[in-house]
Order: sequence, then structure tokens, then C-alpha cells
Amino acid sequence: MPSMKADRDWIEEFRIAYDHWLPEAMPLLERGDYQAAFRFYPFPEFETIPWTPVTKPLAASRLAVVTTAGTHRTGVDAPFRHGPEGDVSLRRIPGDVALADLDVSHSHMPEQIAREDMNTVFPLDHLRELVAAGALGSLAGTHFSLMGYATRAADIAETVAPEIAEAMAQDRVDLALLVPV
Amino acid sequence: MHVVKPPRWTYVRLPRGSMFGEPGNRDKQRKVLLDVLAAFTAIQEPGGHVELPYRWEASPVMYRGKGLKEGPVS
Repeated sequence: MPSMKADRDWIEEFRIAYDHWLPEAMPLLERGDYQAAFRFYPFPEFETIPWTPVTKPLAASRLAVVTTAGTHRTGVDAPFRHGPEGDVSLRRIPGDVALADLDVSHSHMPEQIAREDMNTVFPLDHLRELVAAGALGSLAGTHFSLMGYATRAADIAETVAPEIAEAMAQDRVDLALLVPV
Repeated sequence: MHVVKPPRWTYVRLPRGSMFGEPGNRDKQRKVLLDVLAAFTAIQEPGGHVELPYRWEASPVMYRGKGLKEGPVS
């Protein structure tokens, strides 16, 4: 299959629909009635599926992790905001970070699991072992973290995602492992 | 996932927020990760996916008064 870039046709229409959704949804979001609020959320409709063929074996590939668990460095990075619209911002996690130095701030997941063992959402210990064993080529110099609750999807598509893609291209990353939370 | 349309994906029937298995269960976490990495090369078509056999093997994860053994929290 040839490469196919991500569909961008939905973004303009989404922004208009979002501006109509938000005023009606806000009271529901503020009282935590997410089921009611997202029943009429303008979920994007994609025409195509993006695709890049994998051309290298794992043992020769460089991998970056993108987690949406709201992972951040304790005392270094700002925690993610827990407002009604969530948070579309990005945290860059250095490749040599110790998992003990990480925390999570995610308003829509049981945070205690990741705090007990960060490998449940950001499996860096295991990936390092696989690199040491020769099963995986290398790990990126930087990994990426977002909070999975972020209602402004167009902002992620137009600002955050290109920023991640550019950083990965500069770091010669072959594989992006997304851990959705 | 039919809405999100990712290029390739694995279906892991574990509670949201613990996608590689129970805290401290390193053997299982490693198995899940190895299966996920294998899917990078195994999936040859856009939108292809692999369903993994793993299930939650601990007390349900408590979140907002609910006990979870699989799937999202809301």
C-alpha cells in the first residue's frame, strides 16, 4: 500500500460545529455529565486512513512513545489542566528520564494505576530492555505526552500533531507507539 | 476505532489507564508490548488491527465509584 497522509478536510467544519456545541455542552461538562455532553459532540469524520508502510525490521527501527495518559515530569513540567474542555498542550519527555521522576495528571482515568507503575501507560522500562537485548533498534531522544481528555480536536490536528511529527522526523524516528488513554 | 481510523491498532481488553496490564506484572506487560510491537509489521493494510487475548487479572480498578476490568471509564 502506498503512503497516505492524514485527512484534513474535517478541520474547518469541525471548528464551526464545535463553536455551536460548546455553549450547550458547557453546563453538562461543568457538572460532569459527559455522556449527555458527548452525545452531540461533533466527532470528526475522516474520509481516509493515514498510512506509512513499515520498511525496516524492529531490530533496526527507532521508536518513540506518544502517551495520552497525561504523563509529565514531577516538579519540572506543569500538570495538565482539568477544566471542562480538558487540555490540548504537549509535554516532551526526555528519552533518558527515570520513570520514578514521572507523574500523571489526567482528569478521566484512574491515575492511581500509573502512579503505582508508570509502565502501565508508558512502558519505557520494557522498551529499554528490548533495545539492550537487540530486539528493538533504538529509542527516540524524546517521547511525547498529552492528556486524552481534550475536546478541541482541531487544535491538536493543526498544532500539536504537526509539532510531534516534525520532532520525530528530525530525530529519525521510524515507529510511533501511541498509548491512548 | 471506526471513528478514529488509526493506521494500525491493537485491541487490548484491559481497563483504560492500564493498557499494558496490572501494575508490577512485568512478565505480562512485556508480553503485551511484544505483541503490540509485532503488529507494526504484521498489519499490512490501512486500518488493520490485532485483538490481543489478555484480560485483567486483579481486583477491578476503582474509578468514580465503579469497578473496571475492561474498557473506558465513561
